[in-house]
Amino acid sequence: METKDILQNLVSGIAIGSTYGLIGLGVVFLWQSIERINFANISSAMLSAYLFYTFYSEIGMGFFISFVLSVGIVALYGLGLRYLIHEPITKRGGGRLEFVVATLMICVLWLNVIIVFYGGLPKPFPPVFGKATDFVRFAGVSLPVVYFYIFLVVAILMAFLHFLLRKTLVGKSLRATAQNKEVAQLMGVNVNLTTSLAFMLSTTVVGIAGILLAPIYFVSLELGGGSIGIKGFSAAVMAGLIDPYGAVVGGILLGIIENFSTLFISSTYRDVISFLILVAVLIFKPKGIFVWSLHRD
Amino acid sequence: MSLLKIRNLAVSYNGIPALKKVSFEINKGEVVSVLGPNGAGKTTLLRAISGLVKCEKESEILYKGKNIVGLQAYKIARMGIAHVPEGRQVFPDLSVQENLEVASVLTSLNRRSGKIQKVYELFQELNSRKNQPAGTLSGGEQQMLAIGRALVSDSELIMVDEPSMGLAPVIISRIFKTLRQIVQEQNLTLLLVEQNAKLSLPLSDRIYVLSQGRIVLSGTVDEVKDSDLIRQMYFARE
Ligand SMILES: Nc1ncnc2c1ncn2[C@@H]1O[C@H](COP(=O)(O)OP(=O)(O)OP(=O)(O)O)[C@@H](O)[C@H]1O
Ligand SMILES: [Mg+2]
Repeated sequence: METKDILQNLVSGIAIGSTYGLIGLGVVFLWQSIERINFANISSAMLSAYLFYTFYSEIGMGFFISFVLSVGIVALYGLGLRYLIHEPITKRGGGRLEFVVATLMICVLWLNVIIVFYGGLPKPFPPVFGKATDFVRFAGVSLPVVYFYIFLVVAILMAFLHFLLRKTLVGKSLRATAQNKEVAQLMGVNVNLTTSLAFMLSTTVVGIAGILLAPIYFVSLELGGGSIGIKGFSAAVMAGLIDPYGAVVGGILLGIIENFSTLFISSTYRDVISFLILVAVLIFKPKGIFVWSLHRD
Repeated sequence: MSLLKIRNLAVSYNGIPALKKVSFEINKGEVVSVLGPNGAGKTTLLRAISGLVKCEKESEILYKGKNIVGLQAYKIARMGIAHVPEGRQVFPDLSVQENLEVASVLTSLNRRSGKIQKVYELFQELNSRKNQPAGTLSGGEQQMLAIGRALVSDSELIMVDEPSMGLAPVIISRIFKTLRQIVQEQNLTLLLVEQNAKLSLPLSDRIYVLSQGRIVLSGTVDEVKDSDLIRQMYFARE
């Protein structure tokens, strides 16, 4: 074991982990707003990756426009989830269980839709974040360039979300609604709007994570499947399902732990680790592991 | 014309009635108190007005002549009805300032900061705690903030649900003094729910007594203050 290995694993753990954080953020935004868990949360990642692949590689549009279009469509898909799934279920008196079952089915549905249109084999992700052979070297460590793109995008996204939630009245209303929906309405907050916004934010952040993960996982069904999905849930659960900052930090922690367990134990257990963490946090710290969110009851 | 007029308001929870054909009205500029023991239906009354609970079919709640039954709660709030809920219910993770900002959604942009400033002048305690999360305020400060939120909302009718609940006597008298001051200065209409007649009578023009979901006594303060019911309420709490 050399310091070089440690540094390498640390950086890649942080990079991959921050995308788990984004996936966890998708869970948090929805839970805060409607207290439901969307089991098709991860589908947004797969959808945006395939959309990006279609726009960029198949149609030949530019990077920026492909990115905006894919993420934009996934944001609208969030609205679709609200009005085609959540509202009809609620209107008929359905609760959490019905939403879970419905979204689980949606998750399976999307996997099959993708198989029908794109086949089951992974597609190569275009080298928009550098080629697989592009490395950045410093201090004797060489790191794939894609990690730095991930850092960059996640940092910009977090700065944007921070600004939205902390500095704008819309964001403050969103947080108020998350804390007390009834009273937010008494203040005149249009909860229709904040609920829609929460759905859209939820699918958007996961969609962005999908495009960031595609260079690593390829444009594949794996991006819409259980094992990455569970990593997102683990990150969200570490944040008690309510704390957006906690979800990102939780995801990064998870990424680091995962990498080091691969290094010290075996890569066979990589996915088991996140599952164990999920279960452990649920049992021992169901309100989340971060002190800054603990003064809430 | 009355600002708020309620006719045959009936509410039940799972088939058990909480309000039974309640009728009453409030005129513009009045201070009206609703008194009544635990479980009388006082909170339910305010929640029905705000659109937080469903009313039965025959119920009518006219605000400025318009029936608001069945409207979404946020739309009712936007018509100018502020509701300071029972138990204060500030947004715990929002700062004091943010709580007030969220409540000022309805106020026109250029008047928001002035309105918020006014609340800080009224409640100095809040002024020095602008950036503190509201969940860490004392009970009294939270009640001040809850009332402050109603004041920045630019509402004509303010409904306050048991502001004295769980607070020390000094704080209670402070809060009632401020309520009186607000009503005098700002030409507001106040619907005050209290169990404690001693606190609310000196402030009120008229009162209604609610018991087991019905109005059992109503009138101006002078008319009712010598009735046995009110006397009981006065002394039951000593
Ligand atoms: N969410 C609810 N579900 C079922 N029953 C309820 C609910 N809220 C209130 N009730 C019942 O309705 C009746 C009136 O309650 P309400 O809270 O309006 O009384 P109150 O006059 O405000 O009492 P208090 O002075 O204790 O606040 C009570 O019998 C109460 O148990
Ligand atoms: Mg009550």
